[in-house]
Amino acid sequence: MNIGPRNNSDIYQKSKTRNIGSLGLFLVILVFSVLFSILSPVFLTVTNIMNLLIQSSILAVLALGTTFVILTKGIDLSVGGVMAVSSAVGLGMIVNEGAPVYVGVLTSLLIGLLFGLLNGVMVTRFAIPPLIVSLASMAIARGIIQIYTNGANISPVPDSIKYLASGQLFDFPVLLLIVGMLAVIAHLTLCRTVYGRAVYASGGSELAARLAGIRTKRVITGTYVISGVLAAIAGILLAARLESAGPNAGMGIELTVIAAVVIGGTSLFGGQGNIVGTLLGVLLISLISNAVNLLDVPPAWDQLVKGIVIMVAALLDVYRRKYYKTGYAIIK
Amino acid sequence: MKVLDEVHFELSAGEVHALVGQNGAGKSTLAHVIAGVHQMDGGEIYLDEVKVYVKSPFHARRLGISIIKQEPELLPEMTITENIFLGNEVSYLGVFPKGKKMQRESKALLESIGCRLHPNTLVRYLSTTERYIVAIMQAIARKPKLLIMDEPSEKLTDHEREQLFKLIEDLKKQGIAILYITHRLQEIPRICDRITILRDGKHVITRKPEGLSEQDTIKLMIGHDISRMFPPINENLGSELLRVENLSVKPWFEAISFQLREGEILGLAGLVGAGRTALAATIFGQIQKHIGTIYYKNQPVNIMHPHQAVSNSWAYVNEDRLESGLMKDMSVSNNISISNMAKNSRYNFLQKNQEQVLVLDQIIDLGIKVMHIDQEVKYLSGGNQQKVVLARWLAADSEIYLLDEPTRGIDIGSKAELYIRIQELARQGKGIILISTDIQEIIGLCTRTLVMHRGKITGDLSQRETTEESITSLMTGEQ
Repeated sequence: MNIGPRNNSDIYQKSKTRNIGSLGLFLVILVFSVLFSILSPVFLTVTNIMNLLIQSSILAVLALGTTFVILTKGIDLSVGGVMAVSSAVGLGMIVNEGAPVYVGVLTSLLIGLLFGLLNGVMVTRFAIPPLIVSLASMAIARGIIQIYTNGANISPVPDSIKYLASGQLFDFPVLLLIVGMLAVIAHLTLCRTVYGRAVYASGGSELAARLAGIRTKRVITGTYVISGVLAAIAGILLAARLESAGPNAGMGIELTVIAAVVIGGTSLFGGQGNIVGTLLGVLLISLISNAVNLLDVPPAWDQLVKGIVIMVAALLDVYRRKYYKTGYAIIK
Repeated sequence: MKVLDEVHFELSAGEVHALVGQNGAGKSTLAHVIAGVHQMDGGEIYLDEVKVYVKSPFHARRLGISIIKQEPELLPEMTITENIFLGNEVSYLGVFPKGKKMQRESKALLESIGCRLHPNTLVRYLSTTERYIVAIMQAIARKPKLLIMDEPSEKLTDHEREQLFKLIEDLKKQGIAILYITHRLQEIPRICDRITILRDGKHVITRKPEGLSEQDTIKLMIGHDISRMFPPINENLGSELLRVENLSVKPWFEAISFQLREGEILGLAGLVGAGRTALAATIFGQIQKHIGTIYYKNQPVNIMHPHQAVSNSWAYVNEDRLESGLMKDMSVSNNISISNMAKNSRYNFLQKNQEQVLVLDQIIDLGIKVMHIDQEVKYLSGGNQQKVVLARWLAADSEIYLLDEPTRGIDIGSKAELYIRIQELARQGKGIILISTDIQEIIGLCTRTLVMHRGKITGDLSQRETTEESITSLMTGEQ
C-alpha cells in the first residue's frame, strides 16, 4: 500500500501560492500609487515618499505590537493611551524632575511594559475578554495622563531624543532606521524563534497548543507585553517628532492600527498573519492619508474619503483572499 | 479535480442503504451533494420520481432530505430541545413556541435511544457523543423522507449503537429511506438492505450485503487485500514506566490505581462517561488532580500543566483531533515539530533545516499524504490528520503514549497502518495507554485491559481473559 509521497523533493517543494497574501495587497498599493501619481505631480517625488514613510512610522511601530496580539486572537485598544502616557511621564521625568535622558527613556519603556503585563495577566489569568481589559487600561492610561499633565503639553524635548526623529545617519532618516530595525526584529521573532511559533500555535487553537506542551498563558501575556513596550517606543518617537508630549497624543489611533493590521492579512480569529503584511497595511493607510493631503481634499471631506478608501481596500482584499482560498481547495 | 465521477444508485422508501469506501473516496461529498451542501457539476437527482435540483441545505430540508453530519453544527448556548426544534419550532400561529410540548417530544425522542439527558440541558455541557445524539434527534424531528447519516456509529458506544440500530429499524418501518455512511463494516449486514461501494470517487458496486464477506468488501474498497488487521501483540515487557496510585478527580473518577510497563499496551475500556478521557487528561495535566500520586520511572511527579508532561516525554493523542489535537491553520510541518521545538532550536532560534529533516522523516515513515510540508493541516483527510498528531509525538521521541480514540473516523486501510505503528512502539519499549470504544481494537492490540464503569476500575484483564463478553459485562457494571 504505497500512499506516501513519491520522494523527498515532492514534499519538500514549497507552496507557490503561500505568499500570494502579501502580494495581493502589494498590487492594491501599486494601483493606488499609480492613480495618485497621475492625479498629483508631487506624489512621486523622493521628498514626498520619504515624508510618507516618516509619517507612517508611529503607526508602523504600534502595528508591529498589535500584530502579535491579534495573532493570539486578542485585541489591544490601549496602545494609543499607553503611547501617550509613557511619552508624557517619561518626558516629564526629564523636564520636571531633571532626570537624565536615559532614565526618562527607561521610565517610558517600564510604563509600557507594566501596562502590557496588566493587560496580559487580566486576559490570561482572569479570563476577562481582551476587548474589555484593553478598553479599561486605555481609560486608565488616559486618566493618568490627565492627572499627570493637568492638560498641558510637556516640553522641551532634549536634543538627544529629537535626534531620533530629525537626525540623519548616512543621509538616511534615523527614524526610519529604527522602525526598520524593529520590524526586522519582530519579523524574525515570529518566523524564526520558538516563541514566534508558539504565538501562532496559541492563536490557532489555544487548547491544542496547550496539549502540545506550550505554556499558552505566558505566550499570550508576552504578546501584550510586546505590544505595550512597542507602544512606549512609539511614544518616545512621537515625542521626538512633535517636540513635546501632550495629553491628547494618539487619540483614536488604536482603531487605525487595528485596521492596518487586519488589512495586512492578520486574521482577527488568530493564528494567521505576518509582519510583512502588517507593514503593507500601514503603508496603504498612510498612502491614503498622504494622498488626501496632496489632492487638497477639503478638510471636512478628509475622514469620509479615508473611510471609503479603506473600505474599498478591505473589499479588494476579501476578493483576493477568496480566490486564494478556492485556489487552494482545488489542490486538495 | 473530480471528487465524484459518475456515481449512480437509487434508494427506495423504507430502505437502509450503506455507502462505504475509504477516507477520501467521496462518500461525504456524495452525501453533501444530495443534501444541497455542495453543488454537482453534472447528473440528476430524482426524488419521488420528480427531478429535483437541490440548491441549498435549506432547500433540501424543505424537500424532506435531512443529513446528520460527522461534525454536527449545534448551538452550544441553547438547550437540547431548542436545538432539536431549531427552525422547526412547534408553535401557536407560528409565533409563540409551545415550550412544554417541544420539551415533552424531545424527551420522548431522547428516550427512544436510551438517553437520559434532561431536555433543558445546554448543549455546551454535552460530550461529543451526547451532542451527536442530539444531532440525530434534530434530523429525525424534521420528519424527513430521506435521512442521510454520515458515520453515525463512529461516535457512539456499543450500547448507544444498539439503540441507534433499533431506532433505524423504527424509521424503516415508517417508510423513511436512510443513506448510511460507515466505516464499520461489521454492522452493515445487520441493518442495511443494500450496499454501495465507492473507490476514488467511482462507483464500484451496488448489491445486497448477503454473501459479501467483510474481506471482500475491504478488497473492493481499497482495491487489494489486507492480510491481517492486527499485528501480533508484543510480549516483551520491561520495567515499570508509570504508576498511578489512588487518583481521584470528582465527579469523573475515583481511587484509580494501575501500573504501566515498558512495551505494554494498556487498554482502557468502558462506556462514554466512564471517566476514561478525564483520567487521561488528568495524567497529562490538563485537568488538576484532587488526590493521588503519579510515579514516572518510580519517581513521584506532580503534573500541573501539559508542558510538564511533554517535557517528561509523554504524549497525548486526544479524541477530538480537530478541536484539541491540531492547530488547523498551521502547516503540517509546524504541527509535527511543535512539541519538539526545544531540541530543534539554538538560543531559542529555530533550526529550520534540522526541523525539516525531522518532519520529512516522520512524513515518509508514516506515509502521510501531503502536497508539501507547508500545506495547512486542515486540508488533509481525517486519517492523515491523525497521522500528523501521532507524528508529532513520534518526533518528540515520547516514552508514554496516551491514545484516546486514535482511530476514530479513520478508514480501514489507515487503521491497519496505525495498529502496526502502535505495536511497533510497544516493541521499542514505549508504554501505551489506549482508550477505545471499539472492543475489537482493545482485544486486538492490548497486552492488558482495564475496564472502567462510572469512574471506577471494575476489571483488570490479562490478554487471555480479554473477550468481548468479559469487557461488555464489566463495563456495563453487570458483575
